[in-house]
Amino acid sequence: MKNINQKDDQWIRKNFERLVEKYPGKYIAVAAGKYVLGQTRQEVEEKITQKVKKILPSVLQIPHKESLVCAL
Amino acid sequence: MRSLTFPYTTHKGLAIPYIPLALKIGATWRRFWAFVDTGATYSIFRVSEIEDLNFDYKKGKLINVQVGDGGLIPVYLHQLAIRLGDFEIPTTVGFSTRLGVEFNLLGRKDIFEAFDVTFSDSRREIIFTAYA
Repeated sequence: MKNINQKDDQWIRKNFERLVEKYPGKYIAVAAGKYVLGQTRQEVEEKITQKVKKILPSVLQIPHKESLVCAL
Repeated sequence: MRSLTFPYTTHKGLAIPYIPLALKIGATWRRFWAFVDTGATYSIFRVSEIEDLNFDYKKGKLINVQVGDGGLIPVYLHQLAIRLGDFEIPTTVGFSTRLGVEFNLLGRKDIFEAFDVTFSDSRREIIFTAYA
C-alpha cells in the first residue's frame, strides 16, 4: 500500500467550503499537497498519479451545498 | 484501549461527520471519504467510485436496502479490508449504482462492532475507540 499523507485530508477539510462553492459535482484528488480536479474518479486518479507516485491520493466528489443538509 | 479522532468537516457552520478512509478493492487500495451514518446498517459506496477498477462488484451478495423515501435500492455486499487511521479491519461493504446521495456511507455493520463511536458536536469531532 502506498503511503497516506494526512495533510492531504487536512487540506480538503480546510478548503471544503471553498470547494463546495466553486466546484460542486466535480472530483478532486489531493496528494502530497498537489491537487487535480476532474469530471470522474478515474480522471483525477490518473492525473494525480502522474504527478505523485508514492502517495495514495485523498479523493472525493465535491458535494453540492444542498446535499450537506440531509436526513440519512 | 486505542482511539482515533477525526475532526468534523464543516460548511457554513454545519458540522458534517465526513471522514477519510481507505478500502482494499481486489488488489488495490483506494482512498474515499464517507459520511458516518448511524442510521445505516451497512456501509454503502457508490459504484461510480470504483467502476474503473478490475473489480466485479456484482459478484457480491445482492440485498435490497430501504432508503429515506421508502424505496429499495440494490446493494452488492463484499468483505473488504478498511483502514481508518492506523486501524485495519475486515468490513462488510456494499456497492450500489442507486445510492441517491452524494456521499459514501460508513454504516454500523462491523465498524460499530469494532469501535465505540462518539459523536461530539460540542468538540466537533468523532472518536473511534477500539477495545481489542
